[in-house]
Amino acid sequence: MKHAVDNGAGNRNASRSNPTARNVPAGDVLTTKLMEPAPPKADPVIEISDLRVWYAGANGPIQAVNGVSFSLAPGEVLGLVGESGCGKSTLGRGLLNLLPPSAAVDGVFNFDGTDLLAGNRTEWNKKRGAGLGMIFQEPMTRLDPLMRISDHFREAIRTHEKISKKDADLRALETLRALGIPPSRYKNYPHEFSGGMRQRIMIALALALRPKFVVADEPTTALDVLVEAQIVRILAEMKVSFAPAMLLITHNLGIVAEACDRVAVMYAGQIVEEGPVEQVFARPQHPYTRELLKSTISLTTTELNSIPGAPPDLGDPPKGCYFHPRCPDAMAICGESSPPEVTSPNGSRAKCWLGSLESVSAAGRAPLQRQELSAADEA
Amino acid sequence: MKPDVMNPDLATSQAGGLKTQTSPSGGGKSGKPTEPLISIKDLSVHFSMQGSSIGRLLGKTSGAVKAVDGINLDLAPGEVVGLVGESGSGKSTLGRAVLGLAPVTGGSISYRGEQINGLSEKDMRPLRRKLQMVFQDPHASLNPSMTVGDAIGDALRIHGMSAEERPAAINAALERVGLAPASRFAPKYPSELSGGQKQRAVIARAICLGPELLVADEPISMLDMSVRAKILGLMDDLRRDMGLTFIYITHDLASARFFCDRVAIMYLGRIVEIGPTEEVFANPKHPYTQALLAAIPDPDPSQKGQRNLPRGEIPDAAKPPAGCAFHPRCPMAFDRCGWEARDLRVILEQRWTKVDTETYLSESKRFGSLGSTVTTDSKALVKPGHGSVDDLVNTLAEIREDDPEEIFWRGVRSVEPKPNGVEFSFTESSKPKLLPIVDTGVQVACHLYH
Repeated sequence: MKHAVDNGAGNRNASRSNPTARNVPAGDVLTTKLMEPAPPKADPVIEISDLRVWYAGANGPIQAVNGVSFSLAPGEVLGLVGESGCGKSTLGRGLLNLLPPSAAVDGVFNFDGTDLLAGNRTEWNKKRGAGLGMIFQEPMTRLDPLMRISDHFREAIRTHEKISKKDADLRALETLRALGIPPSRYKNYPHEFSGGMRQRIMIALALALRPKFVVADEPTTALDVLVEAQIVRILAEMKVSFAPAMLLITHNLGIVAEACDRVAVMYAGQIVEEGPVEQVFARPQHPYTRELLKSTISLTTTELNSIPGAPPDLGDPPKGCYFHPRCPDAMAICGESSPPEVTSPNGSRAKCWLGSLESVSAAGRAPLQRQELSAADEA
Repeated sequence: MKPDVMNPDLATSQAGGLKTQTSPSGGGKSGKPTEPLISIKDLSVHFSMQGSSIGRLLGKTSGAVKAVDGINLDLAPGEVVGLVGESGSGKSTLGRAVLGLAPVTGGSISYRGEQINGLSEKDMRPLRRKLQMVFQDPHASLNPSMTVGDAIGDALRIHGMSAEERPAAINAALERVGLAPASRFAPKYPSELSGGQKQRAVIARAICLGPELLVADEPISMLDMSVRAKILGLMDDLRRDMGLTFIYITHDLASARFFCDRVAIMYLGRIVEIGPTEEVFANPKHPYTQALLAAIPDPDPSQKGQRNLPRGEIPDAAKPPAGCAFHPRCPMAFDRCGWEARDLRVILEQRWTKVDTETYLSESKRFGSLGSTVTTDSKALVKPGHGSVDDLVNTLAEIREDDPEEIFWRGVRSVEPKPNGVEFSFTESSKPKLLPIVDTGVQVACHLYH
């Protein structure tokens, strides 16, 4: 089912009525604070509203992505974090129509002024590559071992653009050099490169087509610490040199702090908090964000913290807020109805009842009675 | 209540059930015993490479990969020593060698004063209950067709526990690692467990025999971020409650800092810095340690800033760089660090990513095959490509002039034209030895300090 969506400027703040919120006493949804006017910025490259992805499961549909909305300006990098199984990769691949046939996608995906999800979606596949780029996780397995690097680039570029081999080479070399791959290695085979260089080549392959939007799915996970730092620097430099809007999927909050402008925290298929990185990391509004930050082991860790339990089964999510069974701050209302999305004046938004306490009755604010979670219930 | 901390005495009661001779003492750093639990002396693990078949007939040696090269390390009972480094640094090979899982080609490993490398499998087996391993990938280290209970029971059976005693020991081990109630988890197959639960089962299997040493090879790196803290916490509890000694292998400095008493930073088969955790992290001495620490992305966005990252990647262990293995990447290298002709290629390639295409084309054709230049007796001959030797000398001079600060040139004593190429002569170098630094308890292998 589709919901009325506000497609106007800054619609990442669009406040929608949530179907599960309808059994809340009247007025609650309406008390959601209205968004502040967003600061003027360039027209967004992509605008996603109420994106939903289902997988066919043995016991009915599994809602892997559940009503996600955000938009990205040119050159803007949005970090997407969350535990495994929260729908991060599904969202990333879903935007490029790379999901298996058993998945269904619905919602609005405006790219360059067209809704790619409308109509028969052939336009969507055509945009992939030249318009929508992808950087995959494992650089070791993504390059064809029997093809020279030059052939990878010629094939990729000439599939999308009618240009000569020579022009394709020039474009490829320019991109490779920007990523620190010497032109003298252009005719080499993939096995002649180290892991970090291969990941640079993968990034160059995605960028050689000058896409306006790139999804980078855990681009540094398989790499060593020092090489990871080099790639993160490259991603940060890309913002200046190539300026694609980017969705950077990662589980490393350090990388988000380093390379992203904004961060979206995903839990059980929903974006529970989104905003400028500094804002979200310094003053997380959602308990999940706060607990996630606390459970990260960093050089200053003196005490280990963790979130009890595991993300819910998306085929049968809990009632109310999906995080309430694990939430240290859960109130009675959290187990009853889904929280509204509240946008704070500084531009970050969070989906938590704590953000609209004034609309919750005294009984609703009572601490939630529930069972203890044991360590055995973890992910 | 966290089940992790539920039954601190379970482990010892289990060890008693197994009738093991030595029960682990309260562990810890206080009252250092004189005898180390594990003593590694001058250990090397070299893997010989298969040359060509003709080469072998002619008796040519095809070289060896020095995965572990001359390591000395003592572990006190109850101590947690971290082996930290990038992939290819030899940290996993070292950990495996301690358990007899990698072929030792030189030096010795002793367990309570007794040499254990070179023991036959039959003699090694009784020791295995004392020396256990937790592997990196929990999905691959459990047999998919064995239930968790069977997997643990199998280890107990091999080490001679009777069928009657086994269920109680299995339950104790499962509950010890937080898989409680054991009756719920023992009949499960690995595919029914989450990653964190599998790693708990792997740890249960490792501790069920009451070991003294656990070699944990990246036990948390494959796990989801929110589970890592839980597994690390479990290991910390085990170390405290069972007095376990750990070799903790990781590339993650943050978890090493939290968990280890001492850390050894490894690079290409050698320890480059070792010392008490606090000291190494507070005052890293080796440029490699400094680089590793600087490379960790900080979750605090206000700390964003430019960092001095070393260039390149860990080199091929089959052809390690001359002198200090880290010198091609080291920002603080100087003349004695082991500069050689191979490093010229790296400098050129780095330059060619920055200059325009025409400069690249005109410069690159001046050089012959760069891959084949080898340094012998601190001299190397770089052959010209198109153009004369003089052209090459001029090109090299231009390149040097463009970036006189490039540290490669610090090691170059002279560049002279010869009839068939340009002769580079480099400053003599040696491999830095791991030597103590006064008043710190830290040992460093770096020419800067000695």
